[in-house]
Amino acid sequence: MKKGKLMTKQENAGWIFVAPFLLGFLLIYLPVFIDSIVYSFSNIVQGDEGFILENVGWANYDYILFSSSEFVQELVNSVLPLIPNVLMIVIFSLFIAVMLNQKMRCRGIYRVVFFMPVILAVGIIAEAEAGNRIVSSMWETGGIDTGVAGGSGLINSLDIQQYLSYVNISPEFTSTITSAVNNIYGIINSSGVQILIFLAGLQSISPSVYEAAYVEGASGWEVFWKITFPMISPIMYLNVIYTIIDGFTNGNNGLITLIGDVGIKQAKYGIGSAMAWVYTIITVILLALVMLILGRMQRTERRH
Amino acid sequence: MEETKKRFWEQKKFLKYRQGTFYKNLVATIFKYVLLTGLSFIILYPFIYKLSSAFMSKADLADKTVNLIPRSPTLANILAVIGEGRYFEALFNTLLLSLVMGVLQMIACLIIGYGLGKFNFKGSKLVFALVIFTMVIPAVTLETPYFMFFRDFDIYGIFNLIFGKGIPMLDTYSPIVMLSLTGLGFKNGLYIFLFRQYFSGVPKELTEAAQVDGCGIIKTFFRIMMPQARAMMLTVFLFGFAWQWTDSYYSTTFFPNQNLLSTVIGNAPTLSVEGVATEAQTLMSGTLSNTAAIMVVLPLMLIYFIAQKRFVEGIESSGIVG
Repeated sequence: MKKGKLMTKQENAGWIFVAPFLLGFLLIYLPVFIDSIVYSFSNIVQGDEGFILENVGWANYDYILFSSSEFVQELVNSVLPLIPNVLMIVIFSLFIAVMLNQKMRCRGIYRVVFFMPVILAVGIIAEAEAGNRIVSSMWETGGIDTGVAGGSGLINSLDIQQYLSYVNISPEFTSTITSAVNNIYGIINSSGVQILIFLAGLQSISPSVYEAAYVEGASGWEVFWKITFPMISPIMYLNVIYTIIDGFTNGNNGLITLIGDVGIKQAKYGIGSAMAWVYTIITVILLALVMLILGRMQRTERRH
Repeated sequence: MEETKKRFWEQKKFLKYRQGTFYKNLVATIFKYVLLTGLSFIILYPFIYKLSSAFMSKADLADKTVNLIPRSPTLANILAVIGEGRYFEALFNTLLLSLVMGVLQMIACLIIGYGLGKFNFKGSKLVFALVIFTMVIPAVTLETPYFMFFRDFDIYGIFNLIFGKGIPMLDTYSPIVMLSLTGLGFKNGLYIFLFRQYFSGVPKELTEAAQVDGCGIIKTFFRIMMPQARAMMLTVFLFGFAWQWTDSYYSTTFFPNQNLLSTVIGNAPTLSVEGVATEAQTLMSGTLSNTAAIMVVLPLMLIYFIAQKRFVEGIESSGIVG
């Protein structure tokens, strides 16, 4: 249908509404963005009247990737574990959302509690806890990382390890379990938004579908895999993307603190920018990969 | 009229018992509650711990038998944070700042999201891609350039040409105000995304009905669309407010000298506590951090609890995923 003049005119009114963003993007974001690329190729020195930019070509990138080991090391240490974390967070939040979606007493209270870390965590609380770790290391003996100072760890993971080895479970499996247990705190606290999104998605499935299934004699397990799971797969896709973005860009990331340290506290602006850019490119590549792979799976689902 | 009182053996529970699924359901329910309660405890434990820390005196720290309940509780920690830590001043500043930023971001993202969601103009997909782009780039990449940019604020060099210098904007609130007004603040991309999803779910019939009734575009927006989106607006406001409250990133970059609650937490480990000799101050640093943290977080928790009912319901009925 060819759009008439009135309709196009109306649709174009959208430009007015997005104008603030466009203004900001063109006048603020873009210059800053370009600047940060320029910085990564330069060395910034404090001159008499301000800062002086001297172009050093690829030297910064060379340094962080090949000469100095701190970047690559931190990359492997902090960023690689993020990937299985994403999986665990999405699965965990789906599980919790399904439970919170069922009618039960105190359902409202549980929802409030599970969403609390989103509102309250991050930022200064994490900083305060980071300070606490020094004090806590005097008292804790490798318990679950609950991020509090003093006192004993909630559940001592060494105990779990011993117990599991008594029951003759292989050491590799044990260490996977203990690291999962240690990570639970991090996983729970990063799941708030995902739980909310899943909840919203679950609520959009009309109960009549479930009723029909139960009448036909489907068991709970079958209902989950044949009805719930396919219907929320677009939301799962959204959550995976969001979790990756959030995990890679939030401030608790070891690599991000390193970049902050080097780039700002040590005032090595050029090197910091180069680090940030390598990291950004990696993030973008990962996201693109995930979108391609999962997106393809998504589209084939729809055809059924 | 329904008969709501059935005889015992007709009720659902009894039927389930006879059908043999009663115990299965019971176990499942118990498991569910245990799991949820356990996880809730893990979430809440740090806060409980910090709260109890606030009342611990030096004697309690040294006492190994003291875990959560102090034997000799003291108000000294709290008083230190209030007095030397200038708590109330910071509280007031942060409250004001968070309110303003929350409102600004909410309005900006509402307008931008509306434009992207309701109007199908050429290029709206591109603009949306740009919005997502701003979310994907980690903030740390842009931290230094932002700092430099606002140090000497200038629009592509025009000011320098005309006046010979730009506008120094550091140590004022101007940078984050500008970022909020243009939808470039922290996680604003997410808010815009949420609003866009919401508004694209509003049926076209509503817009058309409004037009038939004689509303222009602006009137439609104010009278019809905005009230509809109230729950989402509250949600975004809450997010923006909470984030500004707990922010230490933008605060330290753009205005490190303002007294905000994040400064209080930063200063906490070095406060001097009544009743503790100066040499032993470092022992209390962890406790002071915890005290400051819980004092900073408590007001926010209160606000969250009050608003959460509307807010959780709002997300559910908003159709982000429709």
